[in-house]
Amino acid sequence: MKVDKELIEKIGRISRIKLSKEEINKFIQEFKGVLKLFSKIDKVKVEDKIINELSVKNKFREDITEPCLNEKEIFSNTKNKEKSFFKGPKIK
Amino acid sequence: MNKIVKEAKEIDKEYNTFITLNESLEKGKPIVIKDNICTKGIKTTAGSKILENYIPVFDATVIEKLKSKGFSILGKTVQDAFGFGSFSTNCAYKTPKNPFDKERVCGGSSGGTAAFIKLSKNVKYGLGQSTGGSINCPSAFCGVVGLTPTYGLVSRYGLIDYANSFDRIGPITKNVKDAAYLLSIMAGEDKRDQTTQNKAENYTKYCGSNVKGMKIGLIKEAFSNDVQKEVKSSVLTAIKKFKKLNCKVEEVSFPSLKYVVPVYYILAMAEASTNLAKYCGLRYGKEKKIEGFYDSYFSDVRSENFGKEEKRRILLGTFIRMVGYRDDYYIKALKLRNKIISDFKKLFKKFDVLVTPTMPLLPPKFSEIKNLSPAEIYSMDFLTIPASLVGAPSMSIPVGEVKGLPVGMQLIANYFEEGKLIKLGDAYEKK
Repeated sequence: MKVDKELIEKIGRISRIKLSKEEINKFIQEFKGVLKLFSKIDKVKVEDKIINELSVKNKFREDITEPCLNEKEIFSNTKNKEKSFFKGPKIK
Repeated sequence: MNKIVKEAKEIDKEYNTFITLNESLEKGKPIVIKDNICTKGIKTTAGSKILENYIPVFDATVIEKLKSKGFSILGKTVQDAFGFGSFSTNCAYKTPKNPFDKERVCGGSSGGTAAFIKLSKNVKYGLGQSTGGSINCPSAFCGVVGLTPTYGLVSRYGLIDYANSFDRIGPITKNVKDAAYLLSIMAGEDKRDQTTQNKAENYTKYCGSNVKGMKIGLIKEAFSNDVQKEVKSSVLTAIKKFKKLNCKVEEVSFPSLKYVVPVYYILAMAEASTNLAKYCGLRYGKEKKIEGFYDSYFSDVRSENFGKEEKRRILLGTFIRMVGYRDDYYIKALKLRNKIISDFKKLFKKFDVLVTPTMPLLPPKFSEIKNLSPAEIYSMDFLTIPASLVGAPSMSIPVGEVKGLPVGMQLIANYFEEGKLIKLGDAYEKK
């Protein structure tokens, strides 16, 4: 597989990470090394089963209303608020 | 000033162990907490710049439980950002130094907790958290006890997640009995973490038990040439003690060990990249003045505040899940994880406990790891990864020193059999 500038830039766009030229060049080299490490699993044969065998059962609970955080607590970690809303950037 | 705080300040100044030190420490049993566990009113950064200003308005379940038993938080310890590291060298604020030699690393990612517990004369309780070995590794490198409980024994509510199907909170202490005591308090079902199970026990009762007849499997591949010979010989000498305690020790093969590293890193990075998607400058964490469109706003906040290793794992994790690559990496790794779990279950039909060195090397110098590639660093986790992939409990205990540096031995048990680890570890300490 080809690891090049285009691929790294594409992944950066998807994951919303802006990359400088230097970062891109460095990541190309590092990606190659890590993918080589990952390629160790290429030839390992495996059954067609992906379910984790930890025998955990589904748990359900009643949907009951309970007190949660108050407004002051909810907004205590942001400066970007307006009235009772979080303020965010424009969608379009 | 309180003598506990004074000592902590001195240690911190010399060894860089705390991100936040609670100078108004209240009465109670002092405990230090890894910084990715939420503490009400005390800054919780997970070691990352993107959470530099985050002050939780709630306590994690484990913190609630500890407070109710009279524990008081002395500080939040230095760690690799989000737990992304084997050496505690991917830290946004400061880098902790090894208690045995300041030119060497503490191990990661719970490095601050492990180093402080080793150094403090007043504090004997600490919390770490592990995804791929982040409790056992620093415990081995700092000469303390680290206990990684079964996945689902201790609630993760209030833990800032790295990879949800792996993450576990566990004790780091000076001895096995203290670890057993902390685990007894923290274990148990929590309605806020649906993966928890009602399996809690009083683990201190296992201390001082007879270990005669216990079957110990020595994993052959874990003593290969990839492990430093000083480490191997220390662990083999420790194993002889078990023989003297009339345990049955037998060699056993675990061939899948050769590909546990890629399986683990594929899955952990995939999970990490989705977990870190929520940090985008909204609601909490680092933010900017709201301007422009969401795409550039999110990208700016993320690019400016994530460190190198965070970016690397987000990029690799995103790649692993992309159409066209997902089946070869993510899906294949899930299948292999399943196979490794089956292999482990077979071993536990025959053995009570499996044993390996905790880390394949003595704590390295900062200068020795500076030029290693990410792939080389990831590969050093091959001994702590198996129990992490499986979700089984494991423990690292110090088994002496070589050239003035500590060596850790790792014990692994079947699901919810922490009691066996504690029995053996405690018997080893007392012998």
